[in-house]
Amino acid sequence: MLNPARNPRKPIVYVGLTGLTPQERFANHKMGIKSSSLVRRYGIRLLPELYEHLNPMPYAAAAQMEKDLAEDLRRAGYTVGGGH
Amino acid sequence: MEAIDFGSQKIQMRCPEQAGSFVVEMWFELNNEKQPKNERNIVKTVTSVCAMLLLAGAVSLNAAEPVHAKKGSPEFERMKSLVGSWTGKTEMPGQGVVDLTVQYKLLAGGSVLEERCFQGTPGEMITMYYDQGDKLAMTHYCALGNRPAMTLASSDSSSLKFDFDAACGIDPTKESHMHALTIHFDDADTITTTCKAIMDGKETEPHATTLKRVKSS
Repeated sequence: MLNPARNPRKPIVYVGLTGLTPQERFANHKMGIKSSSLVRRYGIRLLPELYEHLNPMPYAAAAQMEKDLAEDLRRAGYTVGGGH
Repeated sequence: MEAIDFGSQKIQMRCPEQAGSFVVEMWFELNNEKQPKNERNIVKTVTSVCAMLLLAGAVSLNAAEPVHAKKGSPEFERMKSLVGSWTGKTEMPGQGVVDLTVQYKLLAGGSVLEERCFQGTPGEMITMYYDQGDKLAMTHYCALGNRPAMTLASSDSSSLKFDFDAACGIDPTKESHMHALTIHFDDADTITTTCKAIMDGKETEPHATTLKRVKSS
């Protein structure tokens, strides 16, 4: 999760993959349903501007996109959790 | 079945055919920015090792760096040459020949090419081109109200041909949709797109549109 190239102006984010809508999945995280403890405790909002243009995709492509998106965000200076 | 509904809680039970990424902003008190009021209590409890590691990471700060575009398939790299604005004329059902402007824009660190047409109108549509594995693919967000996906069927030095990807979930026999697309690179500043639809289960005649690159003055 550490990003030596972190830009302090960019937020810490969690990248995930879901077959639900992002809103439903985020709600599940916050309710503790199949949740990441990080998102449950520290997640505050979705950032649709970072993912909306990518969805939906066939599952295999989306699984790869999750990794690629996490890596792209790291390169852009975000500190990224998840994305695997 | 992709999900079951327990009251207001949907729980995913197995890998769905379609999925998507999502990004959640998280709040750790790393900086001195003002934090949202409703998160203050949560932040006060941040004592996890992870948060400590994040704090350690925050001290090694670099200036913002641009997103480095990664190398895509040769066909996706060719698509990237379209970035910019293009104009032409196309025939629309019930409207005759209309002016068409198309914008191509790279997103997500250069991993996705967005094609946007009829911007600002009710018929505005986008098509996203990306590499799926090592193969160029696209998803078209259509004014018909569905999202047909296509994968590269063939290519040569001057054209890319896409054909319907059945994994997108559309039943071609039941739902009208865009089914195939050919992009012909006439020259550096001219392309001709030819699309084929299936309407009410029947294949339509190919519909060609020539677009010219808009050069900045």
